[in-house]
Amino acid sequence: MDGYADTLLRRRNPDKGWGYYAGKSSWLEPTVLAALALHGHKESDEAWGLIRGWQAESGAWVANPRVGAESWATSLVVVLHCVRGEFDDRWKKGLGWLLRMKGKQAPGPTLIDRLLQRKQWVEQDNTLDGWPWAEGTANWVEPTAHVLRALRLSLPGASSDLLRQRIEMGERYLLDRRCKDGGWNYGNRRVLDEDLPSFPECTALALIGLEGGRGMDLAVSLARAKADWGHRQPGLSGALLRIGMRMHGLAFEDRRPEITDRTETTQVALALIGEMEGTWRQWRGGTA
Amino acid sequence: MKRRDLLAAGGAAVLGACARKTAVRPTWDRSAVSVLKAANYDVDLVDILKRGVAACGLDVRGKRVLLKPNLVEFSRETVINTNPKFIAAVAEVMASQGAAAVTIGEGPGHRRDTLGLAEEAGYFDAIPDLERRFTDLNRDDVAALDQFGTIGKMWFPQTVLAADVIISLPKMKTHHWAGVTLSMKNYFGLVPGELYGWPKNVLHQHGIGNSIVALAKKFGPKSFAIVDGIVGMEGNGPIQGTPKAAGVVVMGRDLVAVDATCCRVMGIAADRMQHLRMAEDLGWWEADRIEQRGEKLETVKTRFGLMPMWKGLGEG
Repeated sequence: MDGYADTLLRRRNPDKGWGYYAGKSSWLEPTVLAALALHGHKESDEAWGLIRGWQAESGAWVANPRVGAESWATSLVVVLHCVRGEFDDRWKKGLGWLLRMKGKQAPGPTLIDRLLQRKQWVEQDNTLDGWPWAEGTANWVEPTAHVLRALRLSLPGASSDLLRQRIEMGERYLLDRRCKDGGWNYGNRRVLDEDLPSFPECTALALIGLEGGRGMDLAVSLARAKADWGHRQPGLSGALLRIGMRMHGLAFEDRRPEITDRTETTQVALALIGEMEGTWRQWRGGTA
Repeated sequence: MKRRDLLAAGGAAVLGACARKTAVRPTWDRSAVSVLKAANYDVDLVDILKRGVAACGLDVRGKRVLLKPNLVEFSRETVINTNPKFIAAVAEVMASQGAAAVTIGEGPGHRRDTLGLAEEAGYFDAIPDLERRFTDLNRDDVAALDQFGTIGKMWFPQTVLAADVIISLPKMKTHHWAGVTLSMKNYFGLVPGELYGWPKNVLHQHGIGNSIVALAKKFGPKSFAIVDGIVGMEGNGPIQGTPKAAGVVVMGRDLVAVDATCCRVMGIAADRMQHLRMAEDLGWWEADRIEQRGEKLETVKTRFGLMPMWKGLGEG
């Protein structure tokens, strides 16, 4: 555990945040993941102080103050609020932004194609709402999984019909996008009559998003995750699979993800979160 | 004539009409494109590339050169990415020509673990000093550019904006949405995932053709293209197609002319390729405006298999 924590502390920027790589300026995603990984330590509290100032009027958090663009990683900040038990006005505004956000389905290849041939190029249920990476774009698996975790953890503080509806539909969205092999990729399971393969990191994230859901048969997906883990997944995949399998109580032979000086900061943070004594436990739960 | 052919022909007619209406064309008279044979990745690629670069008059002395390969996903079953030996050879050529710095950058559109993907694809093994040279464009610091197509303000990696020359190094592939993916489409990887996601769906929403052209408009003026057509991909590209040995390298400063030449190598009608026609103010797609150097087209032409939806693009 010390190796991951030490690496994070070494990389911390003077503003108390983290960049994606050593020496780079602070961004929301690596900063909030580092804060989650170091939860309970003063460095996490200091990052919390930094992040609090990055909330926009809309309720979203910005990717970083220089850019000012609303960030999909707002969901991770809401998770951090819940882990800290801070169900305050900022959390409420952030949650509201997540509940308002919906993806917008992309148009098909050409208007002529759509008019003359009612073929569905990408086989999926477009009536299901998930979440996009950025406003005005389509729903995708990874942002949806992150938001589902944020919404579930928010349930004790803000149980509402809308919250429950969006959780229920978000879960249906993820199950609809599940690949034939039982895992997930970015969100296209079948395109132009061909099944697409899953990616281990997306499978892990979808399982993280679905933890706590009821009445879902995830056996094939958990088996997929375990099989992926058996292939010695590197970097991000390994770090996320460990968290996902632990959250679902799956027994597996543990291996610590290797990190080097070039490893991206979010991977270091996720490796720390996924340690046996890591903060992954605080990501679980969220039932009314 | 089948419905698909009819649609393609109809689309070409519409494009032709649009093109005649706007009719803004390049300010220069002709574009040089080098076409060279390379049987495989173990031949003397440095020598071949040097000949091509010299034929096109590329001068990188004292300039910061960014190599932009096409690194998307990895599969042992097919050839999705620009071959690492090819990239290493280009890097060596640029350094030998006096470039002040040669760096490599990519922002993959599907996989979030950029360095893990580069490792899987053999980049760290084959490209000397990659660790120091490589920038993950999905997570670089960024700066804004105004007037990107109809989107308006859009953020791009500092590494891309600071480069004096960008060398687009695509794989020669068919593409199930765009028809082909070559030097212009390769620039989707310049858009930072940290802001726009995986995939960079904002480009799809803006229209794939519109986005290809908008990127070429922004970055084409400081670009040079070198296409890895030694082993390309046909059929259901850019991910699930099958390897196609074409044994060719195509390069030049005019991205439109390079991509149009690649189409002709692949047996695809360049004049029916939507995004090439949409970009005709940026470069020459017409064969009689392209000054082809090196091999004659007939000696390298290798018909690439097309998906049924793109059959209408095949040359007669």
